Amino acid sequence: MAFLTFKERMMIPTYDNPEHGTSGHVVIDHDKCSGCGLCALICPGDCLYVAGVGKNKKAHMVDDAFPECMSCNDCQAICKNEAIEVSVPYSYIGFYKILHRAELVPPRNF
Amino acid sequence: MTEILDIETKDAEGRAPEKAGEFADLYTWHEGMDWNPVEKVILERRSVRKFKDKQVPEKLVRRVLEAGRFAPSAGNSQPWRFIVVRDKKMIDEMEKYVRARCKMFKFMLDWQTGPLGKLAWVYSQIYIRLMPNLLHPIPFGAIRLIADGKLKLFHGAPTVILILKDKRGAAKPELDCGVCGQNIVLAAHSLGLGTCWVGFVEVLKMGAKWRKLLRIEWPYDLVEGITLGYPVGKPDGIVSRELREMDWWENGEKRTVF
Repeated sequence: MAFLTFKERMMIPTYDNPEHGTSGHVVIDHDKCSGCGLCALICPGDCLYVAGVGKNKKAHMVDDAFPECMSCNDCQAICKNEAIEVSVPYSYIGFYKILHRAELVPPRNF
Repeated sequence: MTEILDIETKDAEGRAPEKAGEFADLYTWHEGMDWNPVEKVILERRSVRKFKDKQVPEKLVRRVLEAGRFAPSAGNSQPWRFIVVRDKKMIDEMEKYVRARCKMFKFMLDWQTGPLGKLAWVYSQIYIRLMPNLLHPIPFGAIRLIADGKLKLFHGAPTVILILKDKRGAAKPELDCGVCGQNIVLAAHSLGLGTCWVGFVEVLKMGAKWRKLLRIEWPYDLVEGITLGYPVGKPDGIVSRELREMDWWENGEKRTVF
């Protein structure tokens, strides 16, 4: 157990207010999505689901206040049609606020 | 909401081998060169959460573990011990045990759907403050998903490697176990396997039966689990990640670099 001061422990959000955090968010391009469901199958947060019949069978993201998306990008990596892109990484306020973070960038070969 | 998926988990294609000539050479660098094979494996490694039923050959697991054995450690103390579980029945039992425990945690802590209501809210607020890392919002949500059966612990992997730390190791044995595990993971991906770190195996320590069976006793302590198997689909690939700000000290002055 890490040593934390009383003040630090009190900065921890209570998890019951949607304003205390935003989870990750993915954008699905429905023109490219074939509805194969691989992304929904591997999503660790159960944030993606497949709905629709035939040609309209597409992946969707749940729109709960707190979906458990941790912006792991696994759905983007497994998608054969490059239809998924993670647009927002997760963030919380107070104790869990992620510091010194900038925009999403693919690996750079310096 | 989630409908049953009709994916062929048996003959979904895996990674095709790639020729050595397609990469930059090892042990050399010039500006803007392509990824070399090591960098490629590091950058393309993604956690795999759906495995084929096909068992990994024993020799391949042995080879992957060799990479772990040669990991750097503080004072060369090598404070780790591996347990390889390839018994499907035992893997299922471990999963069942962790799920049962997660159901208990959910009952205690989940004030939104649990029967305890406000009392669970009080419990959760106390426990989150006592264990802010273990009950970070992401694992807190994962407890609920595992309890509901929406998140599988081992994702149907045919082989599970458990890493135990030797508590007597030099300096930071837990960190050394992490270094060792990452060696195993990268070696496995470079050999065409898929892996996923499973921290929830730590819950097994709570069961006397598992402590006895897995010999989690002094001086050893269970730290992490790594699933190993052939992935469904092609989960590996390069993605975007957040840049992190760093301080860069050079020539007596500080710059901020991303």
